[in-house]
Amino acid sequence: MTIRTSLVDLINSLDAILRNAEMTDTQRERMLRLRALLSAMLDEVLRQEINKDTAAYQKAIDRTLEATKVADQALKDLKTIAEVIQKAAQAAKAIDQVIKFAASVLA
Amino acid sequence: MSNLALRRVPVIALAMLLAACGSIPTDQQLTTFAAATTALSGSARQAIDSSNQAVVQRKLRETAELGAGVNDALFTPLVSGDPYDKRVQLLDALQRYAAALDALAHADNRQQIESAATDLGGALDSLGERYSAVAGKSNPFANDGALVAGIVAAVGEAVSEQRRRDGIRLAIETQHPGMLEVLPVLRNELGSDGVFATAQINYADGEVATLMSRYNADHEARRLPADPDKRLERLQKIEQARDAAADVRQLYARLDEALGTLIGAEQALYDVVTAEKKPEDLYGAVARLADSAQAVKRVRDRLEKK
Repeated sequence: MTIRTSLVDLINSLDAILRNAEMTDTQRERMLRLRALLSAMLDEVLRQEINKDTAAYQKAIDRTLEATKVADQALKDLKTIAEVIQKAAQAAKAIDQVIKFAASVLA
Repeated sequence: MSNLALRRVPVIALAMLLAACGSIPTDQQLTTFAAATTALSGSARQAIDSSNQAVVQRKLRETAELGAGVNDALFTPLVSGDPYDKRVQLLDALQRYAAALDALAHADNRQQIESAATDLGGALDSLGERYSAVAGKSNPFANDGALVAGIVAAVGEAVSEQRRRDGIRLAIETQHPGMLEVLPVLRNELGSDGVFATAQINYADGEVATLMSRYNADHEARRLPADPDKRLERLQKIEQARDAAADVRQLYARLDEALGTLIGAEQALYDVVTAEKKPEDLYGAVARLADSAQAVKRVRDRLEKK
């Protein structure tokens, strides 16, 4: 598992929610903002040569997997969209510790 | 030229029955190999450009959807400047390598042999340098002019069929180890798990998700148009976006497959000249390469029409 693959999985899970869940305008905007941020991070992950042998790298993968799990559960109505947004934002912060891309946005 | 040459594949099978050419590829095999490699290089270059374009389109969509401001970063593709140039030049060099091998197979006199050998040497130098820049590894080809001199010496003053084949054998044997380093890097970058596929699929999937979520949000807020035809238009746009996303996935799956068959054909060339395999194996490998290059082009053409 790499940040790249786990990030792609998370974006795919967010897409599944966007495609299939009815949501308010506010929720939709938050989801789209997160998707945009995660996509920009994915671009950066694709560009960079990343050192995988760090604690921050593993933490980023763990957080991203956790967020994906919550997103998948939300599709089954076991979690709320608010929980998905919270976990995905935590994953984005953890990824940013590795790629140093959007620190100012996430602060 | 490439389409015509790709259609000649059945001719190869006929030639196989008629000609016993020992362990050196026939002129026709090298022509088909070159045409397919050229077509594949062109498709790969277009895939890089499409992926770059997709990244910008995705950001434009996000900005429009969220009502965000505009800045220079919005128009930055996935790969630009020097990294972009190196990748395109790597594909150009691959194309030149295949063309030079083909020219060598068809050279009739010493001047043409020298010209083809020089082109081959130049293409391999360029291939090695670009590979080195893209992969961050050392140049796998010896940049010392020995290959060109060796081919010219092998063929000699009076070009005969046998001597020309000796030159081809030397060329294939010499470049093969380097090609086996270069081609997997290309497949890694341009295959179905590569950076360009990942970025372009992300755009295509995002487009579907955005359109569907907007429809659902409008439905939730009872904002959908009253006219069913207007609603149908929106649904049809969603369907088009879904089709495009499926085609993008298929493009990179076919590209991945084709780059795999190129590696297979390159290996088959070497195996045949070193007598590790029979000429029949090369016919199959070159035919698979031609078919797979054509398959990539078909998906690419379909995507371009959308």
